[in-house]
Amino acid sequence: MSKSEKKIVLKSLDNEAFEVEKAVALQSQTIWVMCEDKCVGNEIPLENVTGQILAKVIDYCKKHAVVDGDGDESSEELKNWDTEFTKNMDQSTLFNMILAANYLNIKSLLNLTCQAVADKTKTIDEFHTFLNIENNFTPEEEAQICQENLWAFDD
Amino acid sequence: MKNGKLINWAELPSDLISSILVRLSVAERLQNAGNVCRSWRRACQEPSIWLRIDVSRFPRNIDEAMCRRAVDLSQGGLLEINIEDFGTDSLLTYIADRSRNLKRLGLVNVNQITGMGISKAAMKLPLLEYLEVTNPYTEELDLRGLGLSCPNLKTLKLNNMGCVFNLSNECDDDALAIAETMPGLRHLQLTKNRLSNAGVNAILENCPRLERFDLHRCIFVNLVPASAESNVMRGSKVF
Repeated sequence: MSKSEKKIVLKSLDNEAFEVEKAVALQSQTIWVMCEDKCVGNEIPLENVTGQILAKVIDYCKKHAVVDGDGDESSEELKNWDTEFTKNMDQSTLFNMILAANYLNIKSLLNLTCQAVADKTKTIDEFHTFLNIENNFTPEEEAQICQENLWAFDD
Repeated sequence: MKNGKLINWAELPSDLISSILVRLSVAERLQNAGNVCRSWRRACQEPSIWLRIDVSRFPRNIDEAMCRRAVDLSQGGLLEINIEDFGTDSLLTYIADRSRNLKRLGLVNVNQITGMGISKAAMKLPLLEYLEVTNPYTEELDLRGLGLSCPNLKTLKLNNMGCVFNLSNECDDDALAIAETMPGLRHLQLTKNRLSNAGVNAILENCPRLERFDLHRCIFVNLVPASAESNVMRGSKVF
């Protein structure tokens, strides 16, 4: 271990290095396991996360490390911060944040980002526009879906 | 949003699609998410996202057919269901016939579900641990039968049961049935029940694991300080 055991360097896919407090980084179970199991020194390569996304993940972890440390996890302030954090994320950032939260195994961040998507997709049009998903059903599948959904129009 | 950098979310791994789907209401899953594209449709048909279902008519515009479809999709794995503001005995029978693993059943403001319907359903739910019925029109719930059918019952909440019909006389039938057949209860909540002090005592004597006992607006119960104190000592709280 180099200069301080309290600091750790996270290196992104595109070789961007972030020096962070260990307590911040260890909210990621993946990093925690890496630190426990392997003698990786104080530099952890994260091969699935770009610097742009990692910076945001670190922002999240910093915020949560500080507040968790105060023993005030569920405070209104933290909730508001979380809401603001995801509110204006574009769809590709949100997509990559979900992948990163999953890869880094940060459960609360995965919950937050998945909830943000659920909140943005309340209609079928929002699925198509926000998530950029095209309808790729065959005519046969379409017919089956229509049949299944007949009850939806019963009322 | 930058054009050209849009990501197609059909490519999200299926377990992560599931993580999003469980945050949508039943109606949103069935009417929207399941009809978007093949990969999301496949994820919507995974039984794992249908283990816990919360269905209330308002504001989500759910109906019985949708609820039945959700139960079908769970493929017998349903663990928890909470129904509010709609439903009939026939829906409850449909659920009970297909969900032998059910642990948690919540029925709130289900005016068309009868006590008889709940009793019959309970007979098919041997693993039930939690039952809440909050409905002023529900009468004739056979609590003795419930206790015998569901030996794992840990939480029972009966709120306003039948209170639109009769509140004029005290009656310990419910309390005695609970005392006789539900020794494993941890949490009991009774609202507007007609039990008396004798009923309370019978429950406290026969439900040794009771950690929490909530009595709300039970007008025939008069707690004297001495018994209240002994309850607290036993770890039970009586309000």
